[in-house]
Amino acid sequence: MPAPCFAETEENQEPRKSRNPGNPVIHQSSGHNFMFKSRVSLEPITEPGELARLSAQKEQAELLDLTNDAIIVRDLDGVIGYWNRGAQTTYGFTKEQAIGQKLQELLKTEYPKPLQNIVQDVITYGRWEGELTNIARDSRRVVVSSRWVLRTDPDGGSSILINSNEISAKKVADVLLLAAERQAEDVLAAAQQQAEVVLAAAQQTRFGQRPVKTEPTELLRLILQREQAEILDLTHDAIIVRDLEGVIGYWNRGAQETYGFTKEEAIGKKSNDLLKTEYVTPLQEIEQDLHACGRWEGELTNYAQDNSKVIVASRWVLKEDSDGRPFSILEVSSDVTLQKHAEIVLLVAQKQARDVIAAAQKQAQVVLLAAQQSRSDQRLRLVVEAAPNGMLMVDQNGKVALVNSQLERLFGYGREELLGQSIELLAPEALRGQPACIGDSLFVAPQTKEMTKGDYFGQRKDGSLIPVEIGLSPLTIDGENFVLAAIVDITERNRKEEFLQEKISELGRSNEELEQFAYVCSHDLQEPLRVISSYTQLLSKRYRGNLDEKADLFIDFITDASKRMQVLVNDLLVFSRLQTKAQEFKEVDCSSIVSMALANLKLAIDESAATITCDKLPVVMGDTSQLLQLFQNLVSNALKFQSRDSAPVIEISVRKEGNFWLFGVRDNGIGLDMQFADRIFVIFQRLQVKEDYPGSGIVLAVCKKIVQRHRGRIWPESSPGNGTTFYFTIPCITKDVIKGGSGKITLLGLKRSE
Amino acid sequence: MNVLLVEDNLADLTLILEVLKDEKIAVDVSVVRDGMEAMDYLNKKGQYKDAISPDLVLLDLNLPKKDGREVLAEMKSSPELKLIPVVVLTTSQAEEDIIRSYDLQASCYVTKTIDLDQFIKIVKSIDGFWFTAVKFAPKQ
Repeated sequence: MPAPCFAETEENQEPRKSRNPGNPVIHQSSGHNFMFKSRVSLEPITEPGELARLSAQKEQAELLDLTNDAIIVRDLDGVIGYWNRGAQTTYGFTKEQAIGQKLQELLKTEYPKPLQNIVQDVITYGRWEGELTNIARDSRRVVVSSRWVLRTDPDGGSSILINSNEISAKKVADVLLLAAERQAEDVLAAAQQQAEVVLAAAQQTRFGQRPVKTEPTELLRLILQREQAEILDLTHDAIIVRDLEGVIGYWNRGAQETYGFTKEEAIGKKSNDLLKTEYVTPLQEIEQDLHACGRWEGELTNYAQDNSKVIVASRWVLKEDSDGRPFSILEVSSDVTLQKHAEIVLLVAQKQARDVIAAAQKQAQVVLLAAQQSRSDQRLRLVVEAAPNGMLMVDQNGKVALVNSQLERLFGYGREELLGQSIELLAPEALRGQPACIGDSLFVAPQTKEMTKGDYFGQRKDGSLIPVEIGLSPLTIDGENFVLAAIVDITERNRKEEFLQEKISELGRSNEELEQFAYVCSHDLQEPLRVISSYTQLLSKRYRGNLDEKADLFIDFITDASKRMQVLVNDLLVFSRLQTKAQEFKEVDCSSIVSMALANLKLAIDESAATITCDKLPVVMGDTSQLLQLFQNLVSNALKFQSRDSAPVIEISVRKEGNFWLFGVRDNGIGLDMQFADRIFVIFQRLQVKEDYPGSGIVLAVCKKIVQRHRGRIWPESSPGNGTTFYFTIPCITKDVIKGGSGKITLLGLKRSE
Repeated sequence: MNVLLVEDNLADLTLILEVLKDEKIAVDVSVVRDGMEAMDYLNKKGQYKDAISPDLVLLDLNLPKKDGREVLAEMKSSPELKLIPVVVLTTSQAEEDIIRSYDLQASCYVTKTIDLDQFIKIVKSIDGFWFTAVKFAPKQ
């Protein structure tokens, strides 16, 4: 856990910064002097040429290259005379590229105050410290914590040694973290906003979901703040020289800053005792490497004066005397504790940011999904609610998921009583658990189907059964299977059907009775009628003239009446036989039918000297004998009601009107008043006195009945004195009528047009 | 010439007898009133054991107890009776009655009409045809 470290560090931040505030500044350059005092005296640095010479000195170069810090020597004009490996690493320019260049131009340095003033400070106070921003070779911005020291050469010349430690990586990390934090916050804010909008909509619906609580970002923010503080507290390398026993002989300011011990406290102590050094690999192995290779690099954990843990990246170089015997170890250590912490913090922060973003995204998805779901639910609900019949939706477990108010009314349950209940609640008690039950049949085969055949019943809340018709549609919503059932109460329809069926059989019965009645009338009535008639005639035959005149007249009335009654009874029989003796329809050629009718009426036609014309008539589907009777009746009717002045002219015509043939039988007879147009078709109704035009009034009644049976209608067009046309219609032969298809019709048509 | 008249309707049978008398047709007419009696008469059973076999049967179709159709069928299935000609007299104009009567080998089918003159013509023609023109099978 990094947090305790931060707390400790924060606590010790101030003392550590000003660990030796009063002490003279110890420069690395003086370190150099120390290290080489016994053997090499550092030459005064006056000219770039001299610096180059110095840098050429192998040992010195090695030493200076050990550090990660950029070490640069420039003259007072800014011309670079020395450029170590650290400088190359930090800025990307090689030694060759740098030396001889003006430092501020090479690195495009941004100074916190005018360079002139900085140089003045260095000359006046011997040193300057501050943060600089340089531009590396790869255009990268490199922020360094820089320490400038004035060197005075023995000849009185001056130069400036600059030791710079890059802090820009941390800055970048800061920026990255800040950006990550902002990004996370933005994402969260957006997600929350989105969620709120969507949830507000979703909450209006039944299926809406509660908002998911957002994780606080407070922790992340705190972590970042602390890390920032730590980064600002970066210090330079600790440089220690100790003998082979580990006794410290040199202790620089960096070491003091790093470990908290002053030079006085450190020198003469064994370094691993003082610093409670923990080695990653055993010290013996490190020393073996050191003696074998002359150097070692690795990470160490030390403990500072305040017992705080200090992790350092350490480089050890074995120093040998002129005889090649090792006599001291140079240890340059960079405090990486904060870097480590920063890395961890960075990782943690990044991970948290990622988690936050992922959580936010997930949350957003959940919310969006919920919103979409609630929208589609809403649509479905509206559709279901608007349905004119009872509807319910059942889930895979047979539980009711949705009902509309029609269904509530139909079954007498409230919505809340049905939702989540088994569908069997609506099935008749006796059927529950049986295949005929609504509930079971819903899921036997979840496919679109109609449950209309057979009797299906539902049971209302009050226990009464209702006959229903059910339409089922399977439905998948968000991967869940449902069955949507439309339930129609067919009580009323059943009642109507029953009523209709009753009426039909009633009608059948009454028709039968009527036929029976007609038969009885015509048959059984004839017996007594004949007796009456026969004996009146016998009476008349034997006793005419023997009684008085009135008796003879009375006998005549009786004889006449009984004859007419016989006609009526016979007509009644004919009329009743229109139904009982009906033939199946077949193709009938109307032209040949008319020929037969005219042949039957030949005597009457000849007697009246009538002229009869006839169009070519079509073939229709009909009852041959009835159609014969129809034409015969109409022609004889035309003959009968002829005018006294002229011979009858009768025209039989036909034309097509839509799907019907329109036949016309026109005469030039006495005509009729159209106000009686309906009465003429009523059986035994007459318009004329029987003395003028005898007959029972059955002819046209029979015509009407025949036409009706052929799905046509019949009506007269007439006025008194202007003749009458009887029109009637018969359906044309269609493909529906003749199964044989159009070929046959064409054939028949050809036949007709020939 | 012996005729068996099978007729339940008194008015009808009186009319026949009256017409025969008016037209002076000389036949001996025996009358029975239902189908059972008719068969008894023809088979000379019971009260009819001394009956004379008729040369012609005038048979109404609608009879009590045993109707005319059954009488006709029995006569035609009996070797003794099948040669006696039967004239069916009826008010029925029903086609099926007519067809059935001929199926049962009625010799003739006559519809009783309402017109007395026409009826007299029919009776006369029966007389002319059956009673005078036809040479009957020898009586057994």
